[in-house]
Amino acid sequence: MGVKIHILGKNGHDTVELSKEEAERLIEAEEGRYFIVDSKTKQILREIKLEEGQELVMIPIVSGG
Amino acid sequence: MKDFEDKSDWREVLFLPNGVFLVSYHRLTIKALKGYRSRLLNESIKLRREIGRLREKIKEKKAKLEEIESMLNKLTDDKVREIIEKEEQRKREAEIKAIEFLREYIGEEAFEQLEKKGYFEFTGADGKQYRITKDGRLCRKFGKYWHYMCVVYPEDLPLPDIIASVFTAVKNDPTFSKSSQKLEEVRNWE
Repeated sequence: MGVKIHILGKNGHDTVELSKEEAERLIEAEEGRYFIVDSKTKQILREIKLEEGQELVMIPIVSGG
Repeated sequence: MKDFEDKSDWREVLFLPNGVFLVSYHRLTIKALKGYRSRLLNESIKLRREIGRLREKIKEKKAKLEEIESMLNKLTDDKVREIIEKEEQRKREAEIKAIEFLREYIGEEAFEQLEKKGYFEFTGADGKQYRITKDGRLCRKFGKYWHYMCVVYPEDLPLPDIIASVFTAVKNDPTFSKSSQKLEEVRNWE
């Protein structure tokens, strides 16, 4: 079941399927570099509480002024 | 010739096919003659040195040219061409995938607007109207006018991903542009 994560990056889009724990570790490690967006709701995840079967997108962060 | 023997300086007008010339003659003193000769000698030495230096430079440039041409030959090899084509193909595929993702992410309506008008509009998390152009630039509405905003992009990201990223930031972060808010406060105060 796991968690499906689409990662947007300079080398194209990668899709990885990880266990819930692995996905949480990945998100924790990349915090600050990516927006973690839920594929269904298209909302940024405010806290790292994942569910089995969840689909996420990691979008590189831009900053504005 | 007899006339000249009495004169030390004189001037004359010459009519030549390319124009009218005023020519003046001065008799050189021995001192001036020696000085002039010495100046010419120095100048000839200087020119010889300069020619020597230029020859050295030409030699260096030739060696560099040979090195560059040999590198260029290596870089125009079929193997390199193959690598470039492969990379370009990968980029094209990534771009297509990124466009497909963007279409789904921002919604069909916004995507159509982006394709037809070159931008799409939406309301940001701060309740203001925003516009993202097809080249990834962000505008915010101030009264009647649209102002371009400064956005720092991640390096080497495909354009559709940049648009998705800008959209996510503005849509989710009400404090995305603090400086713009300050600008608006100043305008309202004025």
